[in-house]
Amino acid sequence: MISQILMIVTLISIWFSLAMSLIILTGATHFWLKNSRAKSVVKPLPYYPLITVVVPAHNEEVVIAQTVKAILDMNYPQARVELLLFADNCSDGTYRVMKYIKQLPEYQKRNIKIIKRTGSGGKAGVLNDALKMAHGQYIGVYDADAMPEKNALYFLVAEALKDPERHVAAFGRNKTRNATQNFLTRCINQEIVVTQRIQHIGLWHLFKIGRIPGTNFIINAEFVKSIGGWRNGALTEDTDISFKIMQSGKLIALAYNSEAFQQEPENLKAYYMQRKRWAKGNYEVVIANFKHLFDRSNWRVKFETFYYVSTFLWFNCAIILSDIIFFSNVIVLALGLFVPNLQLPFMFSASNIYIAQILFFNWALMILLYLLQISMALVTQFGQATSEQIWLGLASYFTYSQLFIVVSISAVCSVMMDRILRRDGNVWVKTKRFND
Amino acid sequence: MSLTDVFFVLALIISAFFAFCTVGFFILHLVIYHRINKNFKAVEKDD
Repeated sequence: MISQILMIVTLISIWFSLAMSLIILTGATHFWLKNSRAKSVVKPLPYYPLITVVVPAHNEEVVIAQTVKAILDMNYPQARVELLLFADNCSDGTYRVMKYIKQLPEYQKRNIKIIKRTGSGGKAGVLNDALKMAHGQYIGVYDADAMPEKNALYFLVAEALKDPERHVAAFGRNKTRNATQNFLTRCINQEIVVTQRIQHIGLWHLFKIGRIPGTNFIINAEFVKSIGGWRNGALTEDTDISFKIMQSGKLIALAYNSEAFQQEPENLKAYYMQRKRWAKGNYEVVIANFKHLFDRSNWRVKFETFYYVSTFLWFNCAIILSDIIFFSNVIVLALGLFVPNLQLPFMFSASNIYIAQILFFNWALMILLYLLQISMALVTQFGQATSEQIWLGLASYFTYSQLFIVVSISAVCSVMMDRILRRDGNVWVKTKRFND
Repeated sequence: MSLTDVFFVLALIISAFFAFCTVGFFILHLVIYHRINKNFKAVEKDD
């Protein structure tokens, strides 16, 4: 009886997950149908606000030169860009590379400030320091590994100026610049394309919900000051400030054609450390915002909290439960080769075999929808829609996607231990960069 | 009708709905692919 109830709980969780995916996919599909014939036009803006572009860099000598050059070469009036380069607690040649770029003849007239920083607070600390120094109406943030395309900043500003009162922030897309490096980076590339081309677009198109990413976004400087800036030491300062913006009733607008290339982890260790930090940060944000599900908060905050709770708590538990059921049966089946008359721990009786078939059908449907989402996302990006990507998607379902379970269990344990042992869990683990 | 039968009918309807949506999205995916692929070809030929 208990095993049957567990399987029905799993089935209902699959339905819930399917329903959420389908709602967001509906939004994204409608958006792409509407925009698939539209041309991106770069028209003059009503005015060009001064933008303070901030680049927080902690030991980034491998990638910083390309990033700074890409930012300085963007298609935005040069006099309207102030660039703040932070060499944050660096022990490598980041500061030296920054100074070298500044002295290049083509950039000598540009408004560039290089700050050697020794303070605390991680990336949020750097952004708060930048906020005090910035002269721009908007603060733009690019991570040290992010190479924006020529019009990235233009599209962000254009989106913010569509409704400057409500659109206090605008964010773009990030593409993987080392996508073809190995199996892991190919899988990450797929995940990022789906997240940005389906999830972000669906959420924005249907509900006007946006999420500040770590890089390639602008935010109104006065507004950030009014909400107290970034939370120093936050592991995911981007999610944290996104909730603050939504709580104030303002919007984080999506500039879907603003694109930047970023580098992704190329080995499992770097991937694990990065994702564990993200997962821990997201758990913290979920815990901090859980109360908003029941108070009179902005409905977007409730929606996002519900979405995060579903993903990180309910959906995660359902996957673990589902895996326990699957592996228990597999182990007993294997043991059955040596020990006769062993009964499977999780099975329906003969009279309920149809429910078992429906469960199996829904599982197949889930994989199909997963592949469809990937496919839908890939067809909207140049050079991505290939048959290899479908096979990769299938392989990643059974391999790469399962890493999410490992990462989130580890993050939950870490958050719990931080609380029990009263230790500082906000230790920022920097994502390792690679020469590409 | 037992509780199991009610659940089975409900599960069948919900699953059929999801299956129908999946087929619908597959067709829409082909439409988007066709439209956007045409744009890409136009870009490739743009000198």
